[in-house]
Amino acid sequence: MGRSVPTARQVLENLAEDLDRMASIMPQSQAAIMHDMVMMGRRHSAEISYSGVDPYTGFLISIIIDLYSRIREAEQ
Amino acid sequence: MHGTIVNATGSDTIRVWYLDHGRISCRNHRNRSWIFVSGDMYDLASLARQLDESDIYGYSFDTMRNVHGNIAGIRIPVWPSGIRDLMAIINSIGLERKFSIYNGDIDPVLRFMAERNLGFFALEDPLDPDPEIPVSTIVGRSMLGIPYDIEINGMHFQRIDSDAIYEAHRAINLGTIIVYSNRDGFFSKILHMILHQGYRLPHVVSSDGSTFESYGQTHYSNPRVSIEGKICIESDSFAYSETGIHGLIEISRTSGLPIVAASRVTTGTAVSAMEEAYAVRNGVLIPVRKDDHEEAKSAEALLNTDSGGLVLQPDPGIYTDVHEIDFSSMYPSIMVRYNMSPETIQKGGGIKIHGTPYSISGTERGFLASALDGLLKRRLFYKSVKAKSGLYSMRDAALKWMLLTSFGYTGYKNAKFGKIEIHESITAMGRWALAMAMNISRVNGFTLIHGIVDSLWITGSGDVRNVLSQIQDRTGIGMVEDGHYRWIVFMPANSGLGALNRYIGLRMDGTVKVRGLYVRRRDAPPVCTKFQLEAIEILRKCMTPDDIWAKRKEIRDLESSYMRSLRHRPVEDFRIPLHVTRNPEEYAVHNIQGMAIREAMDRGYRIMPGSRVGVVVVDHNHGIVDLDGTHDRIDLKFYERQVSMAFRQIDFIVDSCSPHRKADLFSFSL
Repeated sequence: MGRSVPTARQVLENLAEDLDRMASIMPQSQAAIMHDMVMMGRRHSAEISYSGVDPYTGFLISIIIDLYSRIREAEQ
Repeated sequence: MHGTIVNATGSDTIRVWYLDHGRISCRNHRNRSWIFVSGDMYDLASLARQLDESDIYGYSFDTMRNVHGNIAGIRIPVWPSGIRDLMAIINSIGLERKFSIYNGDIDPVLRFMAERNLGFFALEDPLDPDPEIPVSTIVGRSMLGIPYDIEINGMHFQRIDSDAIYEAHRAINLGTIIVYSNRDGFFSKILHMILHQGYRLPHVVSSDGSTFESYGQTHYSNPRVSIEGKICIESDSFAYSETGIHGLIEISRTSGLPIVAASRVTTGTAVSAMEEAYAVRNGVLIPVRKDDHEEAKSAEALLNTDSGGLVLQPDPGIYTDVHEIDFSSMYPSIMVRYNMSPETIQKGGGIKIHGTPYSISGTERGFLASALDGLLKRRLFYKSVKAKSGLYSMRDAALKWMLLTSFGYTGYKNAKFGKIEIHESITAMGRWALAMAMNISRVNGFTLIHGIVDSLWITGSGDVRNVLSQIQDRTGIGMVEDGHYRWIVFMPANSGLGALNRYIGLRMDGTVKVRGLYVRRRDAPPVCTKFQLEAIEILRKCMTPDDIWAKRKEIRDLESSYMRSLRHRPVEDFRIPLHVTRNPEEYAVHNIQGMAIREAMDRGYRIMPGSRVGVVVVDHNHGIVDLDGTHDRIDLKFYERQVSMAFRQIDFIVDSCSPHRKADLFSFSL
């Protein structure tokens, strides 16, 4: 209500919905990976919203950060 | 001095009600007023000539000031009842664009009081009690438009018989303030019964109810009743239901609106009235049509500035030793502390607003910041003493609502002293302040769990008082610890991520704070609420997650007992309080609201959009619902699903305490 443009969080939720739809026709193993990655992106919506960075770029960077964290954890 | 002013009515003649030693007396005052017109000097000269020719209106050229500075124009004396016609004439002469009219749409009572520096319910000391004024409360319920029980000054009558009508009539005679419930036209019908039984009443005026939208929700305003010589307050009004009679008196006192008007308007309008009264007292002109429109900005600037508050996302699960720290009245404090006002905002120079292209001029005190300063100080004062008395607590609640809306109003297109850039600057400063608080907390050894706009939930072994003091020093905004929890559980949303505002926590003092669970939902069947209340009572005795885990059998037994006894519970445990939001023809989906509306229509009764109605689902598949107790059965399967959902929330709390499940603490960094 009263908003002229969607918030970064709304953009991210719409993107996540589109990606979930994409996952729905993928093989099950890939759909699970897709779901996991979408969750990685969504987890960082507050930071993306705060930064003012383009939400799509922020979403991608969030996934990379989480993947990098997992690689580091695995290495240790 | 004639006593405390408790009410005023009228327009060209203002009738002021004084309360002195328990007695009401009234005095009439003539109320000559004026408007101010500015514009191009050539156009003003032309207007002056036409006023001369009319031989009706006098005028004088004058220089006055609005929030932006001095302006030249014409001041035209006029009676309040003639202002609307005069403005129409001026707008017609000026082709709706040549003139700016000021002080043309101020409430006559508000203006009368402000110009004379008078106030309602004035106190010598903020700790003084409210004046003793007789209050009569007449509330009750009706089913499909027929009243069936009544409560008069706390005395409950199960039937509305001649005794109840006698008491209602007596209460109206004895009370000066009449608090009435008129849902479904209840009070209007009671008044009708009083007259029908031969009792006499002062002159009564009723208005129709109406449906309206506010903040995206449909509401229904019940028909209003006025009784000559009485102050009539609707018990369903937002201000009364949230803050009680003392809160309402405080709103009247601070806004400058008569108490009846204060009960009928939104708190946003009350804040607007307070700002208008402040402007009148300080000789600042109030525009009829605001000219502070939104400035052109790029799409990128719009995206970045129109962002709202900063909201983090918690990881669902249980956390222990958690501190909830809150900024005190964050947005109003920002407005006052950073001098935010339409005339102080600029681009370049002054104090930079983080994350926006704007800055604030620091040279002169802004109008809005000055107007809100007193309100903010007053609220912070009552917040500090509210534990001492229920009176102060109600005053605090009223002022809290006014301050909350004072921020929202800056972005409202009709706000007289609002400007969207101010609104954006306030939220930007709010995001900056919360981010600053997060970083300070982290540096001091705390881990962030969650944050919403002006609140943070942090856990750790650092010194919280030191954190609060550092945050206050850096941001200039007071921050307090609102709760210290033994444990707190953040619930998941459907997506699996943490829900932003759904949690339950046990404070160190043994009290429980709950948000977003069934027990807090207004549309939950009572059976779900009762179950969760019992379950929460069990959880309240648990000091640690291990204690909660140990109670899992007790919780499961409670669930089984509720499920088994479902069919034997009284039917009122299943009555769902519904908020009807649309007209019958607008319900395309087969949902309970639609069923309720159709059932009512079949019975010859119309449920107005925005009103509330209690519904028992009798057969969900066939759309059969009960509105007035005519059915004695329920749709068992439907209610089993409902209580199962209430169980699931409690189950999540218990399961999150399982020793096999370790909470993954949310880590958030900026």
